[in-house]
Amino acid sequence: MQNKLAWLRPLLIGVLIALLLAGCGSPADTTAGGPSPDPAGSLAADPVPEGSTGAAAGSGWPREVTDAFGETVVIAAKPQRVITLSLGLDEIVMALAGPERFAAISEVARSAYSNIAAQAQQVPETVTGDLEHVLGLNPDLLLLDGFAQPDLVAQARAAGLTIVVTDLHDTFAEHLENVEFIGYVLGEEERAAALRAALEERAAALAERVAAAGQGKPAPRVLHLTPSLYVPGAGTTSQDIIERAGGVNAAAEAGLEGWQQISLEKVAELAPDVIVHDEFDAGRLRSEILEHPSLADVPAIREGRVYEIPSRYLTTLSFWNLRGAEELARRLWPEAFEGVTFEDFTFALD
Amino acid sequence: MRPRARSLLAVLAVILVGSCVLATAHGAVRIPYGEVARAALGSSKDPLHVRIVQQVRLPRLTAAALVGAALGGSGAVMQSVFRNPMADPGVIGVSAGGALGGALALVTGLVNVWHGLLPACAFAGALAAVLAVYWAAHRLGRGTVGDLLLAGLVISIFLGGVLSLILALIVDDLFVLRETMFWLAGGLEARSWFHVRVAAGPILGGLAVLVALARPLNLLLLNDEEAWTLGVRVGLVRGLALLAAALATGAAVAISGVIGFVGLIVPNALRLLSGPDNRVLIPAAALGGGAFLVLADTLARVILEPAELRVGIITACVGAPVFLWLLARQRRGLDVPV
Repeated sequence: MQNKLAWLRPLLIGVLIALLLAGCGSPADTTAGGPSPDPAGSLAADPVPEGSTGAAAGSGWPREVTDAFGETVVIAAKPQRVITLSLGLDEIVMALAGPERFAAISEVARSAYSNIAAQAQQVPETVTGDLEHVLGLNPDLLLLDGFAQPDLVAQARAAGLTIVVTDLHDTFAEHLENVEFIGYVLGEEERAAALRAALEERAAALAERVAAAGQGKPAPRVLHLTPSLYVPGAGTTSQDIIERAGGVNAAAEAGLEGWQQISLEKVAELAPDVIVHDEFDAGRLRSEILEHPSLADVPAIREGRVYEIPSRYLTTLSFWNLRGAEELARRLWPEAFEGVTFEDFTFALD
Repeated sequence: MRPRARSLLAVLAVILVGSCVLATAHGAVRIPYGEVARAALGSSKDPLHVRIVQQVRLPRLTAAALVGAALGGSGAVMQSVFRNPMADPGVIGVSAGGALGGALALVTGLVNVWHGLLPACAFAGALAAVLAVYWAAHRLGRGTVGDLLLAGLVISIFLGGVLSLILALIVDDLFVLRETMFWLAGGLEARSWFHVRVAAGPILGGLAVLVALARPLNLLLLNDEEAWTLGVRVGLVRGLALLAAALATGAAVAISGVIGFVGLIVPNALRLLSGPDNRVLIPAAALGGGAFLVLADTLARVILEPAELRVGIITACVGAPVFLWLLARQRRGLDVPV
């Protein structure tokens, strides 16, 4: 019953919009939602914080971590009933621990925005942030991202929940740090190390192929465009994806930071070689923006280099963004990637 | 019309034209003034400049002028009909209805079929809301100004609730939710000649009717009984005025979403200069509203260059202090004449 009524909380809308915009946004956005998160220190990038029992005992329990809100959290035992409330964390925990270790997963994890929609179906419950619902599921660990409402975190801690807050970032390198940190929190350090190594290997392979493809050629200038003309500049997920694919983010090149709204004339002036969008924006973007007469001479439109990349690779804040880079690279360098197909990540847990 | 009134209208017309020139000359892309003029006339040799000026700036500033005129003129009429300086075009449900209609077009995906369905749905929603308000006030109440006001308030709140429910239902559709929220916030980005064409008729037609009704609307300022004894067909005049204002405002909402404060502060500010005579105030508010929104949108386009702000932020930031100033002025006994 609680689950059915959970969507009636309109306040959640604001939080999710902030997550969508700021989540894919700039470092400045990252700190907007919470009072304290410090991107540098908040990841608790050292998974065995100095002075913690975890550090002393290596893989022993209990262990301590310092989370993104600066709290020292004691995790009594290896978590078996984990609840996550944001997609990036859902995806990382799923890769490290599988569906069995979840007591519940975020609703978004089962949606079209998720890279783990099928696995998320194996988790018995979904949650939306209703504290009463979360408490009723008796989790032994609640993993939240840095956009979590401080009031909710404080209330949940007062209710006795073990909560670890970790920021979700925009770059692949930071996603790897998160994999290690969450691996430590879950007691899955070996799996985390293996996953990190596998991801690094795959990223290196992509980088190598992109470097070869771009030899002696100018990097294509790419614009990630939405129907409301919000574009991601420097310090965004899209920036990292575009760069890994061997392109130049035209919005960042123009001095834009984070997600910003620009005018049609700016799009015309930027004259990107390639325009990228996702499947949800496709209809309105094509009918309202791409067919606008002012953009007829934009190279990407004139030459038909407007590409759809699945939203689940662009929107999430996890290592799955690498798939976005792979898909974009295939389109930026069609000759070099001819016959090359990329598979989604699969995780064989022992 | 008195010479002073004619002068006021002339000055406002000049300000409107000047703001349009300014809006044409400035934007995210820096183009020298001479080149802007050549691009506007089609004699520039740079096709990018021609496209920017003719296909981006000119339709956008024309849309801004039309929307501002609709909101300003309709606001003046609302304040007159309701004998309340705090009334704006949204008081009869037109904004809430337009917002719901536009949101439905986005949420149901109609907008992906053809982008013209977004303004069409918003316009239909605005008109449906006004008709519902009018019906409720006349069939359920006695059709007095108070009944209209209450019916407008209740139906606006109801429509707002329905909109909130729809947003809550699509909370997992992040992209649809994002686009819907941006549209609801109001804005003039990516407005093309198409939007100008679909909105110009209802806005200019509606404003023409409002100007034509100016004299009987003046008499309605007395009270219904006195106006009736002076030969005014009270119900007909009020109904026509509301319908014309709804047409104009509905078309404005259809192409720009809900942009606040213009319909509230522009008529109030101009009433201080023109007095309460609707024969002057309605055209003055239309001209002033157009100029105000063109200037606000120009500021929104250039203040964070190369990024831009939503125009609603500018109108709110300018509008709120002005509105508070008007309130303070009222409190000091310098009542805003209605």
